[in-house]
Amino acid sequence: MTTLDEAPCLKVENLDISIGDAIAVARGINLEVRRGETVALVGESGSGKTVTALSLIDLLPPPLRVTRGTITICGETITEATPDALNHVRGNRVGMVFQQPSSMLDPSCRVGRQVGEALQLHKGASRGEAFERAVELLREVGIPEAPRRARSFAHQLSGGMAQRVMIAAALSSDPDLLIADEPTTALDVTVQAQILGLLERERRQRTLSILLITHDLSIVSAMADRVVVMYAGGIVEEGPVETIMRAPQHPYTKALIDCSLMREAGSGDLESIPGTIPPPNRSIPGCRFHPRCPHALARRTGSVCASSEPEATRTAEGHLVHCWAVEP
Amino acid sequence: MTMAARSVRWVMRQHWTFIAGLFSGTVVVLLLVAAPVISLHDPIAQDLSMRLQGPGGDHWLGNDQLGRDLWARLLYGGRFSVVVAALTLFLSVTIGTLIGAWCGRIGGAVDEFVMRVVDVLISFPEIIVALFLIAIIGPGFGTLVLALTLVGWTPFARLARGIALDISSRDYIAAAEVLGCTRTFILLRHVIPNALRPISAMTFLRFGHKLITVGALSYLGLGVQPPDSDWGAMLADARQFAVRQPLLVFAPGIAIMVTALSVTLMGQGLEIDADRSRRLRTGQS
Amino acid sequence: MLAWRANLPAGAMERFLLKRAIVLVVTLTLVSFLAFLVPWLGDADPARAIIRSRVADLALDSAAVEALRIRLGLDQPLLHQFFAWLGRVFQGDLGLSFTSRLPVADQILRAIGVSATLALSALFLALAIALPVGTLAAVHQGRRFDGIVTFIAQGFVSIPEYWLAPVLVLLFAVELGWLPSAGWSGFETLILPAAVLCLRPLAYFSQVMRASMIDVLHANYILAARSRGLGLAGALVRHGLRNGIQPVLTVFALWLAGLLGGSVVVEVIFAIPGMGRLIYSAVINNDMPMLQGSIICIVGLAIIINTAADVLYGVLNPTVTVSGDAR
Repeated sequence: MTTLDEAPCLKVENLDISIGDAIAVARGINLEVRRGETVALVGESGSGKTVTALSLIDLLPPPLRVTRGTITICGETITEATPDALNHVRGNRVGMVFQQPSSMLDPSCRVGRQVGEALQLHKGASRGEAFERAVELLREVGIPEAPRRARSFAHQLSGGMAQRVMIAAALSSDPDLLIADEPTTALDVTVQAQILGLLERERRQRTLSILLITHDLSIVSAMADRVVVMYAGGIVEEGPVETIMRAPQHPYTKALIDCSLMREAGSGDLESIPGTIPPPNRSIPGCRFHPRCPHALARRTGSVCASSEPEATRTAEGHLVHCWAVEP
Repeated sequence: MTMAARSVRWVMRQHWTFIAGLFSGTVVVLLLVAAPVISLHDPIAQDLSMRLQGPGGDHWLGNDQLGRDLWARLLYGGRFSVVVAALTLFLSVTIGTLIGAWCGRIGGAVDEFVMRVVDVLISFPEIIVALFLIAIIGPGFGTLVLALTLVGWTPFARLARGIALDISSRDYIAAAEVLGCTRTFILLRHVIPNALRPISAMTFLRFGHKLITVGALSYLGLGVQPPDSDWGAMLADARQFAVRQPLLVFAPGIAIMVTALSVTLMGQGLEIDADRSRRLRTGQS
Repeated sequence: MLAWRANLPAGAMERFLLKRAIVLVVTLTLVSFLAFLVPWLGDADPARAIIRSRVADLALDSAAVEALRIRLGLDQPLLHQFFAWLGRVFQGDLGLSFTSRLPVADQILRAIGVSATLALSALFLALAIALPVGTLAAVHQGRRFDGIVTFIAQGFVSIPEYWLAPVLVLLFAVELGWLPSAGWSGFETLILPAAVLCLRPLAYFSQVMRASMIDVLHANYILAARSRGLGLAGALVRHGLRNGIQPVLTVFALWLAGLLGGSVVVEVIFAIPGMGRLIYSAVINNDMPMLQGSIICIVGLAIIINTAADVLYGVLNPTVTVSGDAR
């Protein structure tokens, strides 16, 4: 649907994020989202997805900070931008939707004002215009009785409603990129489907690019064009959604998909990946996954896995895989 | 490890404000206790030939308007206010904590009633209560202690009740109850140790205000009664001689400030410690 | 206000106000009874004291006293007298001051006005400084600015007014001659007392503001606001202050209630005809009707102000559930 030569909407190169100067939380992240494309960033909790998302709009809570690499959004280099330029990108070129929608809304400010805020900031709308437009946006994201809802407060909304409000706020000034960090995790299953449907519809109507951050593979296959799998702060595999789901190359991706399939099949004993994701402050030589990896444990390559980090390899399916066991 | 070594270690682990406050507070208390040894003069011995003399000779800070030795008066003058403030706080903490914990434990109408009383009393200025009591039963040591305690127990009651309610909602209390412990036993066993840090922090933080209120009443002539004196009374006496001998005004003022600030600093150090230990306990970062 | 009420269960506001009204009436009755008993707690003849409080003519022989004793109902049982007294109190008749021979109610009303002016000036001054300072301290949490602010706040709490006031008078009135040293005649006479009085609340407000803004800074809605393109300062102004100021307003109300009678020292030093000085001279002169009236007024005002603060809190914070325990 998109051509490769078009300039990407989001481009991340060699991004490192650390706590202070010492502990690396994410390392060597390369990421690209093209116009109109949905890219899913997948991984277990603790793999550094949310931190990566926040770094994209330079809102990492201290002491977390970007220590290396460049981020470019719609031609603006975030990593070198002035504070004013950053404020102009946030909300205007990039919208953000978060995991706990209810706590993301100011409890003592009417919902409509928050939805219209970006319009006031970026499009020079007056307070009244912004509010009127907010009502329209709320209607567009499927909120019944939008004029009345626009005057209500966050605690009067259900989680699903609050998330619709957040989406309306993020889309208000018509951004090119939407970063959605676990947008449905805190919601009921039925509401999840509605929210995802809404995102998909908005993407088509606005030719919006979406970076969807999730741990839920069932969402990924429904929504994404491409998938990026993260493990312990690094990318392990990247590729088109069909082949990733059908023929994953990295042992971690395989394990992740197996777990998810097992759960969907409702099979009695859940398959799980042995061990746990290492905390960022534990340094692991070689491949970060090797202590839990069946290949590293079973094969002779175990010694390589434990000593040096695997480079990216492009496979026949067009995946980029970081694994010693994968042949080009 | 001996008790002393353990105490020293405990102190060294505290926030620097606590250590600073502890140091200057200890110096003040030692000076007040050792007043008869340190001061060369009788605080009430007048010598009109020495009126309003500046520092010199064995009168280290000079003499006041009646030729009394300022240094001696400063040392003896601290005793009254500090003792009233400390005694009041001791009573307030004891009464307030017991009432508060008891209310949190029994709940119901009694709790509701006591907390409404606390609501009314807590905003009531101590100095007004003291003035009313003085009007009814006359000034004196007992009146001051009674007046300041009458209002002083309320914040401790509120704090202790909050802690008691918080703790009795915890799972381990239910577990202890299942094991057959009575609620009162649980209260004493769990609430008091948990409440110790925040309550002692609050105690130290309130001291400065008590000290200043006692001084205020003395300043108004309704606190300490002659021939005794304290820093507040000294300030009142010195007011009209401020231009001729500023030290008479500055010395008692600074004495009150240093004493109040030392104890407040200790309180702040303890509060930081209480916060830290609460966060450790509840697993917040 | 309307939106806030709309999301409460029906009648919650009415129930809350009714509950507070009951507390007000019960407390005032209890306090009135105590106040009524005050003359009986002294050692002088209470009847004589009460007669003095009701009759302007001071020169009375014992026959006249006896006649008045019966006319004023002082031979009746105590409880009976109490209700008669209470009835007069509710009509605004608090008797005559022993010293000035003027109605107590009038004097208290005037003094409350003066004290309220003084207290509000000092408290708004404190608030105006404490809000930005507390916010900045929160933004710089744990760094040098924060440490300095906390230390200065503790210094302010440790300064006795009866030391600071004379020193400021000495400096600004006696030495420099910029401001009057005492009195109550317009803005100039308000500056020094308000400055002295504001230090302690300033210290408390800034610390409360700091703690509350630290919570706000970590709140998710600030992150969300910033993701919409607001700078940190903009996000704090638009979404932070309104949430962060709420605990400060509770403390503000407590201080206002406290200062209406509690600024005794400052009022005495600066010769300001407010409640504090009124009570002080009533104590000195053993002016029983004045004391009785003052107790009732101060307690009543304290309850009313705290109730008003709770209602205001509910308006500012739509999530608050209004109940007797809301604090």
